[in-house]
Amino acid sequence: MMIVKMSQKTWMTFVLTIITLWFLQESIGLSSVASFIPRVMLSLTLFLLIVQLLLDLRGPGLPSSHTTETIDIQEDASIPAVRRMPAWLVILWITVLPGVIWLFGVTAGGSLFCLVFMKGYASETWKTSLVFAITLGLAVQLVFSGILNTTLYGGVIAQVLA
Amino acid sequence: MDSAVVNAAIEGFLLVFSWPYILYPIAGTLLAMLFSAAPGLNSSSLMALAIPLTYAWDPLPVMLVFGAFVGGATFMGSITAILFNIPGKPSNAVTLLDGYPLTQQGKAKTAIGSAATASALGSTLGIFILILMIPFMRNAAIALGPAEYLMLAVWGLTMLAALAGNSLIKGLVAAGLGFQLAFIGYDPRTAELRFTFGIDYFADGLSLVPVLLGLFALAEVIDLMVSGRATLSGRQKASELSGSVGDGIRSVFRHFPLFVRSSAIGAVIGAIPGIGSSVAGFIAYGHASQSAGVRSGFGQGDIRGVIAPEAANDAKDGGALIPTLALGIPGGTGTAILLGVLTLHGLTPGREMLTDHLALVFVLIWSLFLSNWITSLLGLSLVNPMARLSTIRTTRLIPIILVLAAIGAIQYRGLLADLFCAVVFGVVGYLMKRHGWPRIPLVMAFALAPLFENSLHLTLRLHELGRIDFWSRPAVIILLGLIIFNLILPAFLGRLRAIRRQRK
Repeated sequence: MMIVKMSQKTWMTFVLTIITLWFLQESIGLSSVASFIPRVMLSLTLFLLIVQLLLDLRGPGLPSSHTTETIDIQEDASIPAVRRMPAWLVILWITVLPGVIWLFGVTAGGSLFCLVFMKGYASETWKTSLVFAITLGLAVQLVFSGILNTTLYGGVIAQVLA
Repeated sequence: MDSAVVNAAIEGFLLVFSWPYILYPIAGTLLAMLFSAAPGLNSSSLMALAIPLTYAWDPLPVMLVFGAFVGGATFMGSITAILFNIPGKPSNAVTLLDGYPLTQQGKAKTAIGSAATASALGSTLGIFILILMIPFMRNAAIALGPAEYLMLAVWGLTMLAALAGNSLIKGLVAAGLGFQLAFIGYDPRTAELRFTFGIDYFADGLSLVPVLLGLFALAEVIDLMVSGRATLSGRQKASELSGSVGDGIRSVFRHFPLFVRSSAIGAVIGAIPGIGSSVAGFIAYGHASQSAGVRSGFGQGDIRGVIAPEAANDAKDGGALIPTLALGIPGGTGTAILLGVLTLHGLTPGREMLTDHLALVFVLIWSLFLSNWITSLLGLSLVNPMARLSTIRTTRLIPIILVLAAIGAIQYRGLLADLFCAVVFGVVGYLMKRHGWPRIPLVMAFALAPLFENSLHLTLRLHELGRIDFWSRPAVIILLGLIIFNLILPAFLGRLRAIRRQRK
C-alpha cells in the first residue's frame, strides 16, 4: 500500500529523472563546446530532481492533485456541468486531432473533428454539430485562403488524389 | 534636442496625419490586425506578402504602410491569449500566464482593457524613448555586444525563482527542463546535432509556438474536459462577468511605476538586435513578479502579469527600429523584412537615413504610433463582444479552440509535425499542472536559453582572445548591478515584511 502511495506521489519526478538521465547519456560523444553548458545544466537539474525525489519519499508531502496554479473559480451552480471524462480518454480525444488533420487536411479535418467531437463527446444534436462543423470549415477557408491568401495543409488523401 | 530632429519629427507627424496619407496606416493596421488575429500568422508574413505590391510605390506610402504593419500586429495576439490561452505569436505568450486565469475568474473585460491600455501607452513610451535615442543611436547600438547579451540573459534567469510558485525546487527543475528542450537541435557553433534521439524533426530544434500551445492551450483544454467545467469563466451570461474595462484601464495607472519600468525594459531589449520578440515580455513579467514579492498571485490572475508584458511588447517595437535604422541590423524577422523594403526603395540605413531621410524615419515612427493606438482603441471598443466568448459553453468552444490551436501550430513553420509536438506538450502541460509543477519557469528558461548559451560561448571566446574586457564595459556593470539587486530584492522585501509584522 505504501509503495502504491509513494509511486503515485513521485512517479512524475521519477519520469523526469529518467528523461534527464537520457539527455545526459545523449550528450556523450558531443564535443566539449557543444556539450559544456548542456551538461552543467543537466547535472544541476538531475541534482535538484534527486533532492525532489527524496523530499517526495520523505514525509506526507502534497497530494498528487495539488497544483500551484489552482485558480479560484466561483462556479455558478445553475450551470449544468458538462460530461466529465477520465484524463486518459480526454488525451485520446486530443490525439485524434493531429491524425484527422494529417489525413484530411486543416479545413476538412478540422470540420470533421468538430462534428465528431460535438456529437460524440458533447452529445449535441446532429443539426447543431453540423452547423458548427460547416461554419468552422467555411470560416477557416474564407479567412486563410480567401482573405489572407495562405495555403493550408491539404492532407494525405488530397495529396494522393492529386 | 537637435532642432533638425524636432523639425523632422513635426514634418513626419504632419505627413502621417494629413489627408489622404492617413488612409495608408489605417489600412495597414487593419490588415495587420486581421493577420495577427489569425493563429500562426503574423505581421512578418503580411510584410513579406506586401513587398511585391510596393515595387512601384514612392518611399513615403511604403513607410506609412510598413510602420503600421509593425505596430498593428502586436496587440491582437494578446486577445486570443487572454480569452483562450492561445498566443497569437510568441511575444504574446507571456500575457496568457495571468490573462487566461483572469478570464477564468470572469474578468476578461478587465484583462483586455488593461492589455489595450498598457499596449497603447507602452508603445507611446517606447516611441518617446526612440525619439530621444535618435541622436545617440549609432553609438548606443554599437556599444552592445555578447557580454551585455549574456548579462541580460542572466538577469532574466535570476527572476526564475520568483516564478517558481510554492516549490522552489520544482520551479528550478522546470527551468532545467526548459533548458534541456532548448538544447535540442543543431549546436550553433559546431553544427553538431544535440539531443535529437535520431529523430529528424528535432534537428531544427523545438519552436516556441507549438511548445506554448501545448503547455498552455491544449493542457487547459484537457483540464477543462477532465474537470467538466461548463464555461471558461464559470458564468453563463455575459452580464455575470465581474470585471469591467474601466477596472482594466485604471489598473494600469494604479501600477504606473511598474508600467513605466516594463516599457523601459521593452524599449531597451527591443533595441538589442537578435534577442527575439518574446524575451522582452518574459523579462518584464519576471521583473513584475519579483518586485511583487513571493506571496503575490502571479500565474493565478494578477493584473500586473498582464500589464508588464503588454507594455514591454509594444514598447519593444519602437526600440527595435533603433538598430535597423541606425546600423542596418534588424532586431527580428519583421525588421529584417523592413530593412529589405527600405533598401528596395533606395533608402540605406545608417548615417544617411538619420540625416538626409530623417523626416521619412519619423513618418515610420508616427505610423507605428498611430497603428498602436488604433489597435488598442479597437480592442477596447470590442471588449464586450470579445469577453462574451468566455461565457460560451465549453463543449462548443473546445473544438474551435483545438482547431485554432492546430492551425497556429502548423502554420507557424509550415510543419505538420509541430502539431504532434504541441499535442505531446499538451499532455506534459496537463500532467505538470495536475502534479503541481509550475510551467512558467520552463517556458521562460526555454525562451532565454539560446541567448544565454550563445552569448556565454561568444563572451568566453572573446575573453580568451583578449578582445573583450568584461569589466570595462559600462552596460555590463549596470546589468550586473541589476542582477545583484534582483538577487537581494526578495530577501530584502521578506525581511521588511517580517519587521512590519513584528511591529504590528
